[in-house]
Amino acid sequence: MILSLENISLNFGGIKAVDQVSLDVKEGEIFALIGPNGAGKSTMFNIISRYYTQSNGSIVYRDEYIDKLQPHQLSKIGVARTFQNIELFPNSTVLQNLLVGQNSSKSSNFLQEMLFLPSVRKAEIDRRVIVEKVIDFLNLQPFRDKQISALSYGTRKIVELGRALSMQPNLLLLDEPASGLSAEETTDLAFWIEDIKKIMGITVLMVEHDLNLVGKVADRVGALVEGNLVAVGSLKEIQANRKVVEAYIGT
Amino acid sequence: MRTIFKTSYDPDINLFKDRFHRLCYALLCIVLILFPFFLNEYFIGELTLTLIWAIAGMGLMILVGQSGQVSLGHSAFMATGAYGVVILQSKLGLPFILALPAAGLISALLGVLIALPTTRLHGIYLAILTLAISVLVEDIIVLAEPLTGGVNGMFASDIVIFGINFGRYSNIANLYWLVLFTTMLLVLVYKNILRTPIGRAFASIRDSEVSASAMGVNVVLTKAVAFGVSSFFTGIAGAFFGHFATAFNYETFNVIMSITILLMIVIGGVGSIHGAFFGAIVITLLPVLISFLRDFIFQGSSINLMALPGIETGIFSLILILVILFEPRGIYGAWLKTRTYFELFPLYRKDMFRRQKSYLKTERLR
Repeated sequence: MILSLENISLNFGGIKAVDQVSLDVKEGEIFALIGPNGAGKSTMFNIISRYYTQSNGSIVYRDEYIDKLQPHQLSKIGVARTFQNIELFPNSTVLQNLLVGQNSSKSSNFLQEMLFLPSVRKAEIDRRVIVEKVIDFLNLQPFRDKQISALSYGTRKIVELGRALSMQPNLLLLDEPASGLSAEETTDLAFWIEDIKKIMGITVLMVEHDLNLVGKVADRVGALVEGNLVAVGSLKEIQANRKVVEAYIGT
Repeated sequence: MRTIFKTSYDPDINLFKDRFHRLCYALLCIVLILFPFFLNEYFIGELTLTLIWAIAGMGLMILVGQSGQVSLGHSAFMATGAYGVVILQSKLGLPFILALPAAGLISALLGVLIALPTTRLHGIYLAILTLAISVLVEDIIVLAEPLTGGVNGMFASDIVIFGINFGRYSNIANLYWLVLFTTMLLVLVYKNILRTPIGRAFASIRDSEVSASAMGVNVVLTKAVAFGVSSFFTGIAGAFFGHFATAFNYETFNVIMSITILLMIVIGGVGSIHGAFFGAIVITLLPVLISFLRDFIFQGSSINLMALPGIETGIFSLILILVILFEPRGIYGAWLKTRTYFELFPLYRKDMFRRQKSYLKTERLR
């Protein structure tokens, strides 16, 4: 198990956004969370990446409790995430955005950097090599020196995926990676997600509404309905589940 | 248009893009170093003051332009630098060469102390808090009379390093070279910040704190570092300002000074080192321009510029309004556009620098 959620609950006032959810993500799999709007999928993500603190339950990442960590400490243990609404740094270039992903692995402190010691240059080149691999992987070469604010929505989505990959994570959290993408871009994305699993060996936990994409890439699917995890299994099993159908279509 | 063929990652890391770029800056340095041989003492003094303002501008630029925090209280750091260096010299007998960095560090410490409890404040709230702190520092200066001379202020004796005199009135050319040398060092430090992880961390908290922390950037620490570096620069500027003015009191470092530094970087162009220098040139040239107008244009006419109080502030504000209306990227932005126009001639398009509005941001989690 790379990630285990044990009885996670979160209340906003009287609303139970997440209610007693237990979930295991296995090493090397692609796990997709689906569910209607407001089911608590993004809330779950924000709990895992420590933006929200759960009222109950605990999170175990590779046999360690991570409930006490701050959001910025997650990158050090190998958890990266993307955001539903793109959260890139719009006034920087694509290259600079990807290089930020390497910030957490730096060994120099800011004084060494301000003096630009020789070791800083060497580390900078090492970072660049890693980032260039990501650029190659996602075919971002034409946009390398473009400012984010000059890119189209679809490209920004890919850059955000690239920025998470340049952190060289073990666990990648993708929050609706295909929202706002064209059919063609979604097909590309499906291949990339498969390759992220197969070639890079990264475990992927994703929230997605596009069931075609989920069907193509996900090994297991979990369905959230009103904060409850009602079913876990293959997409077919989920689609046949009465509770899930009720939640989407109504009784 | 020159295209650089890159065969390694070094050109992207180096300070200068190519040989031509390096040559331009080498020439600029030589011209700056040779100035005292051609100009009279008045103009050397003005140039020195320009450089001092530019250092202060760079200080605030790091905070506003790079890390996206606003400060209306940078006069407090100027004051800390000025009082710090003179007190260290006169009361502790430290030589200037040690007192200068020490004064910078005291300012930096003050900056970090202000930053740590205020990292949750943004925009206008942070501006108001820093404004309050600058007023507070003014009061503390008056109250700490045994140390600071209270309302009477202090006198800065001539700077002496290894027996060489750098006095404002005795040896202005030496003082100019000293300030120039310091400015070059600080520009180098600023450039290093921009090309290393710390600069990217600054940019990331400026653009999106949520995703900065998702990228492993410690937002609180980075803000404190930004404040510290910014106030270090400003403290150094203040130390030189004190020695340049030779006599100063708490009123020298009032709110107007904070606002002047802020307006300076807005007029020059927020987010660029060049902007700090362009802004500094504008504010030191302005009084010269006004006296020029007075002596040559309006002489003998019924308009008497001397009789108009606040004309300087008026013209300054007018320039600011024009800049914000027509060139929000400041003088440096205008220069970039002009340069691109000639580089791409005749292919330049009018909207080349226009950027799309960014897309909807994730709802802030705080």
